[in-house]
Amino acid sequence: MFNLAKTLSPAHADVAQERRREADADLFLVHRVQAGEVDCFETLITKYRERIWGVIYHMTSNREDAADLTQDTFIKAFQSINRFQGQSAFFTWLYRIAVNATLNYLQKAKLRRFFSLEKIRDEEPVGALLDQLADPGNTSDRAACLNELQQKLNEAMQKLSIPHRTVVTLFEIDGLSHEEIAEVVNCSVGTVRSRLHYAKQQLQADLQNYLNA
Amino acid sequence: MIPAPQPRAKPTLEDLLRAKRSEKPDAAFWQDFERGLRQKQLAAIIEPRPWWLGLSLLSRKIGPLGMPISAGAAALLALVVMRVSPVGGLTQAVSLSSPEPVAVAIVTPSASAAKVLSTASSVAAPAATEGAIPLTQAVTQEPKVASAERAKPDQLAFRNPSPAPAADAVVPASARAALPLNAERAEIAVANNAPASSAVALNSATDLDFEVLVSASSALGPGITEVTNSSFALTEDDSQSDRAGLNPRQARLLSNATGVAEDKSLASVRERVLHRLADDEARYAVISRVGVNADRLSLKF
Repeated sequence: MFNLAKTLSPAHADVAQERRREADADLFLVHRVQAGEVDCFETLITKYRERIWGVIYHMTSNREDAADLTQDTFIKAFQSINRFQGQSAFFTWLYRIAVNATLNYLQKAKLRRFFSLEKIRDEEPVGALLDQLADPGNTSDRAACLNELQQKLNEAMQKLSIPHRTVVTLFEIDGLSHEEIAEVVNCSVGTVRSRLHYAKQQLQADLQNYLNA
Repeated sequence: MIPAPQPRAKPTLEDLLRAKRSEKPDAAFWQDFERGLRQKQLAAIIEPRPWWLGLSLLSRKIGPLGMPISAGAAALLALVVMRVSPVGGLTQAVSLSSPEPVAVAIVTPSASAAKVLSTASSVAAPAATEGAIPLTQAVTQEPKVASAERAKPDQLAFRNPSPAPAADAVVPASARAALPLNAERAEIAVANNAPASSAVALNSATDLDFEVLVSASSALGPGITEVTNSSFALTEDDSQSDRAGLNPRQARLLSNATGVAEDKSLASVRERVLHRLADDEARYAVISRVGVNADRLSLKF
């Protein structure tokens, strides 16, 4: 099992501790599923479906494809649950299945791209940011601005290569650490950092007209 | 005076990415998601297996039936190998220089399992018939026109006037059970030194056994079944057998087989049998039946 608390700052150490507790709780549920209590897998699905869907959606930019791949991910995880031996956290294992399924899908569907946009929830803590992006007095202008920024960001993300897009999604959007990403995508931490740096440079270059310098 | 509009603030990349985190579907989406997941779970349960898994399941199901099939296939393969093998097989005995090609028929206890090895073998190479001696071994020889020692066909009359039983005539279990009793009677008769009674006892002891031979041989074809004889009474005296160099039993066997009483014929048949057995006296001594039909020689051990 990983121990992030030794390598991270105190702020991140709390997050790591929280992840550790989550991992132990997941492992308990997994053991129950392996023992035959398949209903426990429902708990895991409910717990991780939004995060898994989010990763896939931000990699594919298509909500329906993301839904299909998320379902496939959980089915595959359930079929392989007996092979999970607890050498990594369950969510890392689940992310690995999801990312691999998405990478396979993206490789097959290179020529077939349909983007879709999800609504940003106003109750989220990014409300202040949205107020900053648009004129608060003009709601129609605000919504248009948000849609435009969303679309531009999605386009810039899709211009990234698949490995770079994966790293950006896992780090910037889903909040995984470098070590966790390295474990998910099966590469070194240095490679993760390098890809992340390059991907940010690319996004900055593509969105320079919309971003603060 | 109207104030100038403030320039719109631009977000950073991190702000945009953080905003992107909040792109989440509504509750209706998750209801559809749950429904789709259930359907995929059910579809995964009834997903057709690959064809190779089906084969393995099939082989598991027909396991008890497949074993005899595979055994039969192995036996067939062994026969083919024996036929085409240049060394050591039955065809090894097939010699172009052989003057007497012989067809060997091996009778197994089961008439349905009888396999006729219609393979020409050479008398000069008896290795073809060596090895494990079957219950009944019928040896059929093709006519040798130039052979002066061979009995003429008209001399080889059949002693058994009754036709051979059908191929599917199986000796009943009651008759088989009687065999030990007959054998016991034969031993008692021999112990009492009564030639006539011992001959009768021997005949009765071997009669049922003979029926087995007839039944089994009839499955091989008419040429083999005709040489069998159910009457096994003593018809030759001891002096005749002595002159031919035979013990009484062998003389009886040969005379029953050939149907001739001349010393020369008995001797020639004996020589023919011995020649067929590669002069193996030990095997000759255990012959229980001899039948000759023109060019065919039938032996039972």
